[in-house]
Amino acid sequence: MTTWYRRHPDLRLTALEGEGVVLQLGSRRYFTVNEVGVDILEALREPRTLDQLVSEIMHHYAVGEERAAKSVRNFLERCAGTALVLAEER
Amino acid sequence: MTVDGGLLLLRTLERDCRTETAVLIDAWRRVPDRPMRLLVRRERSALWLERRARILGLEGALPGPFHRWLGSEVRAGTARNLLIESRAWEMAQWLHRLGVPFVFIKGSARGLLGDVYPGIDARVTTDVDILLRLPDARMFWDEMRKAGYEFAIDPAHLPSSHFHLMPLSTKDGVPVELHVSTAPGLAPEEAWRRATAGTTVLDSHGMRLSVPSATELLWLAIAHAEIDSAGGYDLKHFQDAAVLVGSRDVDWATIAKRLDDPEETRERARMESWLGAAASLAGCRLASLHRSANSPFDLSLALSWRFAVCRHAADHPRLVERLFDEGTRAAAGLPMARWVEGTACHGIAQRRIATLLARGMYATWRAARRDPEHRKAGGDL
Repeated sequence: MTTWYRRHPDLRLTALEGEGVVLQLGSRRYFTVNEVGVDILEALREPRTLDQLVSEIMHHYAVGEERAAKSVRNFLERCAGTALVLAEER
Repeated sequence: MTVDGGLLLLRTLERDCRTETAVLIDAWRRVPDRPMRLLVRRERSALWLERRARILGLEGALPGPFHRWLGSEVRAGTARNLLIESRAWEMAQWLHRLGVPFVFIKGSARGLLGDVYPGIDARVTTDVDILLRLPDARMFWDEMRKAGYEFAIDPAHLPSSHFHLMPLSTKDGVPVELHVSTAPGLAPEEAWRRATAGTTVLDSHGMRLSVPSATELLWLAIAHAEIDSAGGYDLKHFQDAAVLVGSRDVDWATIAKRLDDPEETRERARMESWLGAAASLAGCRLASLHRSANSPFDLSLALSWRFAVCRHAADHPRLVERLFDEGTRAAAGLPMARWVEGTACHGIAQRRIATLLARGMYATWRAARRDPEHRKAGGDL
């Protein structure tokens, strides 16, 4: 079984300078995310596995796997409590 | 001497800012925080200011508390715009399904045009504005009601002369205005013809959406400024016009013709002066339009007054509104504010006294600014 992540369909996102504003339409709550968060949420328009996300961040920011994996994991953990990202086992 | 926050805001927002960066930086470090926040919020210029500060390299110069406050205003405004855009997009999908032609106008158009006219989207949108043919607007309004949309305002508060149907509200409180015209006295057929002639077609999330040409958007801004009276002199209205005036897409012959036509413009001199102020904000001159001796509306004077009001009356919101309104009216040559119909006699008397006092305070402030001693001490910023 692999965990697939995708962003909540009620999420709207826009990039500002060095950060992004994310709106959860259902609750009308909004959040600020950093640049990496913006990239992860953009990528999650389509379902992605953790490995795929890490690979994309490594490629985009030219960082090592360990650092990219830490960033992605931290971001997904923070999103878990806000319903910005949905996880599904397949 | 205290920094003139109104002038500082204007100098920072001007597209061809001629004030030296060092002077701006020094002024931003010294300007009083609270009245500046009040002014920026009242003028709804937070998004624009943040962009201009970035362009001019002033971000680091803004005092920490003001910079953090501005950032939070920008995030909240951006989130609001995301909500409005999302609801506008749902309306567009619905209209596409029904096969009804429409164009987005006002804030909904500005939100789509950010890449075409940089800066036009840098303000908070409050509702969804759609222009439709009259029968389509009525049909779609009925569809919305059947789908559970509620009145967004008390029906008693919709002026009979207005040119949109009763605004309806989505489940999350976003007002949707279905317009049948774009100006008082403009026949719906002609409004539709203008709005659909030379439209800009944009792709948004895979949907083709139309917005009126730059000329029609500018005319819409002018027409709204005329009917909004003192409210038409809020900085946000000049911002919309300045972006368009600064573009090369406006057909000035059409604008001049309409300014000349008493059926289109009842107050040509005033609107020409208004347009001149928008042009100065855009950093350009409109020599071809200025056939009379009308000088541009003095935005620096208006904003200086408003900042002075924010400094001295910040704790009295109603007084701030009254002083903003009367000061603007005096500066623009508009008559004093009238009472609202249905107000009781004692209410009319109170309002009249408040209006006269506000005018008197503005006249006193204006006279003090003419004083050579004030000029000597004040300088520019």
